[in-house]
Amino acid sequence: LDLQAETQRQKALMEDGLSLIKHIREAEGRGFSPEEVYAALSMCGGSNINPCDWLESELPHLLDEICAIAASVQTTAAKHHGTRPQEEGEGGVKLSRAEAKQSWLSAGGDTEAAVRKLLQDRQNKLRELQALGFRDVGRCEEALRQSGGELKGALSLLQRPLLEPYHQRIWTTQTEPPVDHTD
Amino acid sequence: KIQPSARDTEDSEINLAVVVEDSASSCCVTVRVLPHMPTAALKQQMFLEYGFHPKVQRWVIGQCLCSDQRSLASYGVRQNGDTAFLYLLSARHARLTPQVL
Repeated sequence: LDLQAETQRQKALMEDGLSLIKHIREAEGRGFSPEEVYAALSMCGGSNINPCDWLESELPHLLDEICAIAASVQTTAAKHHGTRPQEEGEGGVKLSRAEAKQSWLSAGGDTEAAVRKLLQDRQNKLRELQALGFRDVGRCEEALRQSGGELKGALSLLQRPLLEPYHQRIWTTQTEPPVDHTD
Repeated sequence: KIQPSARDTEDSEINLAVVVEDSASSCCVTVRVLPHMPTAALKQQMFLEYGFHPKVQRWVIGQCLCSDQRSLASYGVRQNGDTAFLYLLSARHARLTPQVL
């Protein structure tokens, strides 16, 4: 009996693995990563929805939802602590789909965990920007949203205005372009 | 039920049947592994022994896509003949450039 159970276990290892590999292979053909298809399976597991189809049609909505939940969690938390949500106010945290996707993937498709991770990651990035001297939370949030959560990109967005005058000087101090009078 | 031999098998190497897959084909090899080693160590081992960069390796054991820190045993690998799948991504999908290699 024990031997039979053991054979059964090895057979399950084999078959379950093969089935996941099949999805991973299809995903690669359609431009999705193994992590994406794995997280998708945890969302539509049990049903016979194809995980790649789900990634194409449903994931964007889920990511928007994750962003919305995270934003509302943050606003509620701010109210509880008696602090004002943000200087700029109404919108609360501005989160991008790109960030939501990263969190969702690293949470293995667990929506609640993704929300927590999304907020935590965002908080860390905000702190880093503030440590660099960017004190306006609203502007930092917006820059992070636009850069899809990339710290590097956010920095460049925040600092571009500082360098804008240089661009203008480059163009204004230039001498008149030579005019060709050959005609 | 108490199994006196369990401790021994936990600490010694086993033959893991590894089905190597990519978008086109599939073949099976045997790899000597310690069940309690983390997936990351297995990736490193496959890199040293077969030259597959860890970034293109994705391990599947049972229904799970293995994460680097967790051990093979935690995914159910116990003894000789257990099967794991190694999916090799194309470098393009792994965002791997020759410079990284």
